[in-house]
Amino acid sequence: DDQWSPLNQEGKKQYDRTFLLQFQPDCTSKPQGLPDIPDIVLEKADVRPHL
Amino acid sequence: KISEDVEKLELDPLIKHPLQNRWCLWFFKNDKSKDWADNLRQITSFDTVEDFWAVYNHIQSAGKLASGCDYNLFKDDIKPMWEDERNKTGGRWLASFDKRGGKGIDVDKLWLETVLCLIGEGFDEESDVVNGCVVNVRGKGNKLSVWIGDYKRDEVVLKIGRRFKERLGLPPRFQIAFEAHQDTIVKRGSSAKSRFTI
Repeated sequence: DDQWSPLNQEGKKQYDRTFLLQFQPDCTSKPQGLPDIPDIVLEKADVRPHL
Repeated sequence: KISEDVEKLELDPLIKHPLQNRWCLWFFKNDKSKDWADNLRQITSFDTVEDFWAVYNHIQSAGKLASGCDYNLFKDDIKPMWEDERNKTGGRWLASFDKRGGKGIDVDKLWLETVLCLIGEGFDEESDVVNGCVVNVRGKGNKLSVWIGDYKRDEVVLKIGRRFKERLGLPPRFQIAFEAHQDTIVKRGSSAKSRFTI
């Protein structure tokens, strides 16, 4: 379909859940500039499996 | 040689998948000693798939939040409150999981499904009317909602409601209700009169 990809950068930025879920395990570096909210901001990535 | 470039481009981790919108994640913690608006904090915003996951993987799961806390995910220029210009004339589809109905409901799973639907533009052409989504973690029963910018457009509202319910995978008999924000101000008893239930 006409979905965005590195090779089709004009494509539609519409992604279904299965497509989105495949990226979860690799994104484990902590984002910059998260506020200091101990209740919710984790130091280490917690990749919770999602069925 | 061409295929090599293609291969390189495809796997280049630096090329992130852009989302249609930039989204902002907010956190609300109920601290009675502070003013309501001061309890609402902006966590961060993101506009790529990879950045979303980096944030999601570094924040506490909804199910582990203390009762009285919320996560709000809204388009970057919309505040997660009905007073915001783009929420004023809107409403929300609300899924309430009271103790009885909420048994066995995995709030983390449903919250993530809702978030993936929004950031992935899962409401198709109706996506531009969708402003954001909220999970309210409450002892008496968690609530999930999708906020829409215009309560008057019936077919659009109903299409979004059906897609939301479908994405949550809720059984047909489990009802979700649509409330216009302005109705929730004039509350009779604890719940506003909902305009649709499906």
